[in-house]
Amino acid sequence: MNVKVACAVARAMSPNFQPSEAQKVPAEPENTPEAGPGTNRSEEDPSVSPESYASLVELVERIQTGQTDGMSDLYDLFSRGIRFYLCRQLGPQDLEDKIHDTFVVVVQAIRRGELREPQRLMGFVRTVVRRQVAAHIDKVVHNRRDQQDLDTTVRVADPRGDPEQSAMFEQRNRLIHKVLEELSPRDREILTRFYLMEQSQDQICAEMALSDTQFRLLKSRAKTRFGELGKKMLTHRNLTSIFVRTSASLSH
Amino acid sequence: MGRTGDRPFALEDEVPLSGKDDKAGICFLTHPSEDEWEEYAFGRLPQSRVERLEEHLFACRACQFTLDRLDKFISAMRTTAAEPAPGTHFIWDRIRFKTRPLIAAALVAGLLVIGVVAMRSRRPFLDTTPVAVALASFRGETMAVAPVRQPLSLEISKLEIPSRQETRAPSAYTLEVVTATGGPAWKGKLERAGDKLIAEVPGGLDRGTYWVRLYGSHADLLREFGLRVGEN
Repeated sequence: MNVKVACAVARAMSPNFQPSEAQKVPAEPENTPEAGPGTNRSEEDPSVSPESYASLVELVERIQTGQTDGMSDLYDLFSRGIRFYLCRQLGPQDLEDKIHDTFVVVVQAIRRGELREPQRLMGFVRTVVRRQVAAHIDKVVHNRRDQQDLDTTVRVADPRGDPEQSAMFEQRNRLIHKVLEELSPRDREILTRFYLMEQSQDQICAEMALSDTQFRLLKSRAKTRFGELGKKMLTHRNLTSIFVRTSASLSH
Repeated sequence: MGRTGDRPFALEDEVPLSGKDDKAGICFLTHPSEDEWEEYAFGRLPQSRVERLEEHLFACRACQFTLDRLDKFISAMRTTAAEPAPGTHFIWDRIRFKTRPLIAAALVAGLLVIGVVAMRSRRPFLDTTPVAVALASFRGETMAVAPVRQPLSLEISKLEIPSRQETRAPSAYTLEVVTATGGPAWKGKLERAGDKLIAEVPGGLDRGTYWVRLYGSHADLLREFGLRVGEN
């Protein structure tokens, strides 16, 4: 367990700790309109085994009773996913702080008994994380609108990156173009429509006169060929990650 | 839509072997499909489905890996679309797919028209049927007209033959075609076909104005006819 997070969680367990507004969380996960009338938000996810739900309930109980191994297990279970989600939404800046804030809020809420359905722990964590994202975005917008940096000597980083990164980027670009050229016209059309033009499956099927099954098969085959051709052409490790995973994932 | 740029960790170095996180004891019986993760990455899933996927994502390393890989692929394709490689011309790829069939049909039609025009203007190796051209000796604005480089069957009515020549055999006559400036274009014998004399010009004639001269057995000019080739 991250030492920093462990200390922060321990501090949050103190009765004197006051969470900020952004850290406050509703007692239950949000009910969304899209869930539909009559939808029971406490319904368990059928993809999760019943034993797993039981272990979540037991985990929540351990946290409520202040057992440190409970917090450690909570961290091991969700830290990676929270880090991935936050980085994906907000970027890598201040990532550890955001993860720390999330755990503080979750642990505090569990300790106060605000999680009435322990089996909904995953949904609860998701709600907390989304609130963190929304609060961060709101803060950034507020700062941008209402604050002016008076330090005119502040250097602005060149978003283009260093020359090596630019060269890598250009090389990757050329390689992808070359691979696309090598594909059959149909494969290229499928990939171009779906990934470059971001057309939906329904639109592509309608315009290319394909059934859903045909589309899935064609797209899968096109991606596989794209990966195979790319592997033959590439030389750079970073480029490998695109082509190797693309073909490997489709081979099983 | 999530940002698919930098990652502070290397997911690709930790390929999960199963959907079970042993320490916390969460076992996933099923996982969202890669197609579904793609739709999530594009932001096209309904909110109700997004909730389930994100709850799954927080605890499932395998799906974190899948989504990270898809993000990288989509990001690479998007940047490629935004910046075409130098020296390449994806003109056809930049044309919207809906207009391609129309453009293709127009190109094919244009090629067909060009091909027909080209073939008609060339030596008629495809169409060997001679075109019958009735020659008349009346000078004036009206001249016999023939197509360019088509086999010709020049027809002379018996009425055009001077009465004193009517009983002669067709082989006694010679037909000569000259250009407007008098240069030789074709020369040959005539054959009788009913009440006409016919001369076959198998290779046709180039575009221009010609004079068709009928000579008697003594090389005497009996008649001269006008012929315009290539103009209607």
